[in-house]
Amino acid sequence: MKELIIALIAGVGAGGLYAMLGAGLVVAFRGSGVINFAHGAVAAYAAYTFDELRENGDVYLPWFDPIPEFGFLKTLRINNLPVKLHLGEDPSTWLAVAVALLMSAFIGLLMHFLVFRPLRNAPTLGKVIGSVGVMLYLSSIIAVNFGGQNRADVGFGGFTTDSPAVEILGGTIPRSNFYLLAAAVVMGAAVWALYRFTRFGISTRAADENEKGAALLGYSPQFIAGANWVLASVLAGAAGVLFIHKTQPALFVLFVVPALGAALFGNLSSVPGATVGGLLIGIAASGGVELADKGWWPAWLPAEGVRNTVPLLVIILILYFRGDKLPIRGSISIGRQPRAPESNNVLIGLGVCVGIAILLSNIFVSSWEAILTTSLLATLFMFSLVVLVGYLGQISLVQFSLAGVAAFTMTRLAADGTKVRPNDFFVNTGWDLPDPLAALGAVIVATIVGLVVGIPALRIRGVQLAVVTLSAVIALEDILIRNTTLLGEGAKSTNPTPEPSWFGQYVGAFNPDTNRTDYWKYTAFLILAVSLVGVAVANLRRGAMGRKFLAVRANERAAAAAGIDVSKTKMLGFGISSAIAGIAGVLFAYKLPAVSSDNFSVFAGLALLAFAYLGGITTIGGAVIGGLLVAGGLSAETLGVHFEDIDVAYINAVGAIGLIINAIVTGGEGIAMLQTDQGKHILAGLRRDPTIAPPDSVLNLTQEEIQGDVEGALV
Amino acid sequence: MVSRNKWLRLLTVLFAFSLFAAACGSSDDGDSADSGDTETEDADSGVLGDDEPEEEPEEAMEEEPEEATEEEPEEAPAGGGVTSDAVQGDGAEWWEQQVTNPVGPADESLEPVVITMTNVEGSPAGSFPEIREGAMAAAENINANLGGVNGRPIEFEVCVNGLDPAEATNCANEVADAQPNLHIQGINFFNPLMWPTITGAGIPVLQTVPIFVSDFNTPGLISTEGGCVSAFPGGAQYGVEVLESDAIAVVHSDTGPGFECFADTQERFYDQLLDENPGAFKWQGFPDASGDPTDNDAIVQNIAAFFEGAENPSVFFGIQASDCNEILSSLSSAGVEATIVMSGSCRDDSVLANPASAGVHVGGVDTITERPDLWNDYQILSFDVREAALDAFGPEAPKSAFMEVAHDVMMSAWVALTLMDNSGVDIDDGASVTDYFVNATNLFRVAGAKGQDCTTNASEFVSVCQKQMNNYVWSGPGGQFEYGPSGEEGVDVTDILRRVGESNPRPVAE
Repeated sequence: MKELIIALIAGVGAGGLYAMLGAGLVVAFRGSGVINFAHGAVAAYAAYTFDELRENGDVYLPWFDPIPEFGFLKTLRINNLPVKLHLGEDPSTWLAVAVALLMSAFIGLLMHFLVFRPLRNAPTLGKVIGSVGVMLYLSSIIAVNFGGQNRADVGFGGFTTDSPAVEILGGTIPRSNFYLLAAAVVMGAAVWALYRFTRFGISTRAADENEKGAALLGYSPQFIAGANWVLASVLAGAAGVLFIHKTQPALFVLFVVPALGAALFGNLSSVPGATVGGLLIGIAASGGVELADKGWWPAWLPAEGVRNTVPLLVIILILYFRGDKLPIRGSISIGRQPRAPESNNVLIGLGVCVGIAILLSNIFVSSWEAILTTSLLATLFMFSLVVLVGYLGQISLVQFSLAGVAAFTMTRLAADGTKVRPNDFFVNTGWDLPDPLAALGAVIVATIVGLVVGIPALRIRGVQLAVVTLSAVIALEDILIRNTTLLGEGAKSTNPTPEPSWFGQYVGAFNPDTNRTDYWKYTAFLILAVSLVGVAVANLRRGAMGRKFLAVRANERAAAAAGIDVSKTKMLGFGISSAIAGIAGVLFAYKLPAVSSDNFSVFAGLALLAFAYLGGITTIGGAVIGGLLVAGGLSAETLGVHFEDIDVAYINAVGAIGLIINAIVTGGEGIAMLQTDQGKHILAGLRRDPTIAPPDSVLNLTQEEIQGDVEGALV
Repeated sequence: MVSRNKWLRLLTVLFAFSLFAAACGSSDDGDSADSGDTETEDADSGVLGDDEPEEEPEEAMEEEPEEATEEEPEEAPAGGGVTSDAVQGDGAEWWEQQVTNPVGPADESLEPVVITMTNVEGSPAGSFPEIREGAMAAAENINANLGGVNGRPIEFEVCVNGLDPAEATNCANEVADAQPNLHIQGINFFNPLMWPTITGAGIPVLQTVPIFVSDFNTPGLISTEGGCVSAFPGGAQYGVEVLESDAIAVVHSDTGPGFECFADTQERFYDQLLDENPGAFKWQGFPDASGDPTDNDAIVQNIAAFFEGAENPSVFFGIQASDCNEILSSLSSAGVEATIVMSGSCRDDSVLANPASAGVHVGGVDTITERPDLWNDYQILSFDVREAALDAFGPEAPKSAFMEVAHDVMMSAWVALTLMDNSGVDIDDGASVTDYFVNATNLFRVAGAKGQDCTTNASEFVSVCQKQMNNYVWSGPGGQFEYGPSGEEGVDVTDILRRVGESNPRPVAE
């Protein structure tokens, strides 16, 4: 018991970090209605700025030179945009702190003016994608400006490893943990007082509760939003600087997940609530380590995962039971939802796509055939996003984890306890089911898990659902996917994939003749699966169910008034989407010799969502385009030939900017709808009566031609 | 307004293409170090050329050997150099001759020797460009100054993948399609997915940093670097037999490779040592969630509780550098008194700059690279050649241990391929090249102190030829390393690898 108490107390250090970050998330949400997934990245940039200044006296502005120094450009030696400023040798700690906080404020302003102000009237999904884009941009620009080396900043003041430990109950706890606790409490109290007692705070609260009303009273919602972005970013920067002695700056990017838990604990509106929530999460997580160390801990419950998962599960429950009380931060007007047109001529489109795929699979040499299947797999998975996010409007970030659940379940159900390959370290003992049954079982399990995860969607929606499903990603990974008791010894590392055989035909991607992952039967199997699922999704959209989905997406109350069972419709959407994700997961596993939990990480899922959004998340064509764009897919590999000399971090940064602009401009309709619009424009031009010349062409006709036309018309 | 929208849409499409590139940038299939690109531009700025940066190695190469013959005659071969095939391995003397008397550029008209590499880059969660850069610098140096492989230039083709299994398997397919003379594996978190394709294609493989069990036990792979196989069993032996600790806390990473390495190269070895020395010590593993600061203080509390009553406790770190720093800080902050032993993965500027690092024992191989005063003449020469190559052909970014390893592996590959060619082995035949490595009894690893015997590899670790490890004691930030209690000889794990295989074998299915 004594050890548990000591561990709980020790948790106030990390808890303090989560509390500070959580408070910042609440501030940003109240100011602009955005849940900022980039909040941890802002903290990371501030921490790097602090360390870089102390180490080298340099400050890096949060961008890169648009004319980089490679290729022939290197010879030009052009530097158009200043990136690095040298502030002198050995600057003082307090100057470094001040510059780091100023940098945070500057990033906050940039985020507001360049991203979230243009997105202020965008649908929720657009804001989510915008903040994911900012997170990806900042992560990339950190790699460009600060490199990948580990940092060794020992901190400053009491926030350092040098402070003598505090003895409590015979245990010793770092003194800086208590300083972090105090900092979190002081910051939380200061922000609370700011909102409670100042004119700025009152106007923010007014805009938070009713933006139209605040505007009518003469407050500028955009000024309020900008000021809150600055405040939120400064809080993130402070957290980064104060905690840098305990971790690597790059890792702050990931701390947004527990910080979101803290913010939700505060109902997304209460800074003191978020502060308390953050502290509780840190304390509970630390206590979980102690409990998991006990001999009585059940083997079926992954000890390492529980401490991360329990607080998040509690949050999910809280949200479910009080979801209707959570604030929905509105804006003066909300942009329309992205169009979700019916897919006409499905069979023709299908025939063309299948024909092209078959043609390509026969033309391609080994490595390109594998690249083709990567695109096909991504397309298949993105169909699940089209159904759930595009048609039904439920922003779920958990779908890729469900694919992982299916992949691991399939390996377990099909395993027979023998080594698949001679050098496999882990051997799966399983049910030895025939592969079609194992696949079916895996899809059913993924569907059931998807339905369970979808239950909170009955009470909450929009960005809060995104947060809950993000929590579910962590929970699924730690409790289910990495569970060696449930999913086999390799669940924590690599689980060998049994060689799949359907009705006597081997359908795995690993070609036993060439040893490449290019087996034609797998490609054919995948083309068949993509085709069938694609047709099913298109038909879903065209049928009554698709119309119900769109009605729920547009307005749940109106849909209910029209006689649609909203709950049933939502659960059906989750079920169908999860089943599709499960099919993709099984076929994903068929492609690889082994599956690993790392394959289904939260960031991999976010990247797929981003590509689906870029392609067009409301259409079949969007999923196909998204599939072409993914890392390792056809477009990427083709264009990669031309970008081989450019640092990956630069390209990632530019790509993130592209994602943000896409969110602002297309509102989720993506490239597919742009192409459709262009196509319609061209078709409309072609359909014009060719005998009627457009006005401008009349001007170019010669007198003789005009005379001839007139005579012809008279005849 | 309409026109603005059009511009925005145009921008969107342009940036969409950027995003394609973003995706593929992390799946660079390019032969970015293609010798064809590099030889012409850099050929005249060679390591031993006329340019300023090359003056230092030239001095080293011309002057130091003479000193060496005077000071350490026992290492001097008949030729009067600083190396001896009998000591450093077959080809060491030839290597010395080449680097001290460079023959000039390779013959571009000859068929190139293709060497491929795959490497993880571009992800915030893992990126090791320095591996590629180190090997590339060596390849360029070989082509520009050292005459290639008997005149044939090295064509170095790199396939970079992000943390994406599809990209990784694409890279494996590309390597198999390329059918190189030799493949050097960088750091890749998807090795188990890649080996069936690469080794299945009959391609000989040298590893830089083996981390998965399949890196240790896959026939056809050769590692002149020890990775977990020398560092962790060596660490166990060091803690039990050299430090004589009575309580050993083993902090291991809760990642995929960390979990595999713990299960295969730590758990079994501590159990083995406990079986051999009943009651002499107790040990326990403490999983650390990599990159998560939440658990550090609690782990330290558990370690402190585990140490209760112990007189000579020690903590072994088998984790990555960023986590080493975190746990080290937590141990220090909590005032836990114990000897701290770290594997080489913790040897990082951030860790060594931590005030709590004073007195820690850090793993390594051979000599202490940070102590030139302890180097012998062979080491001076090898380090100078490496530094000069990295200066001339490497990146502007700081050098790192991984960069040095990759450089040395490429140089070792060059020596081995040339020796094979000279002795009549067909270096265009993968099986022959693999056979050469597998049967090498005195393999020269550039900058390594001793020749490696690949024929004595334990059956469970058939790929790993490097079976030596050492520990150096760090005096603290700004200080220096000294040899630890095991002295210059360090710990040889050959025997314990065999003993564990017999008494605590790896679990086998059916």
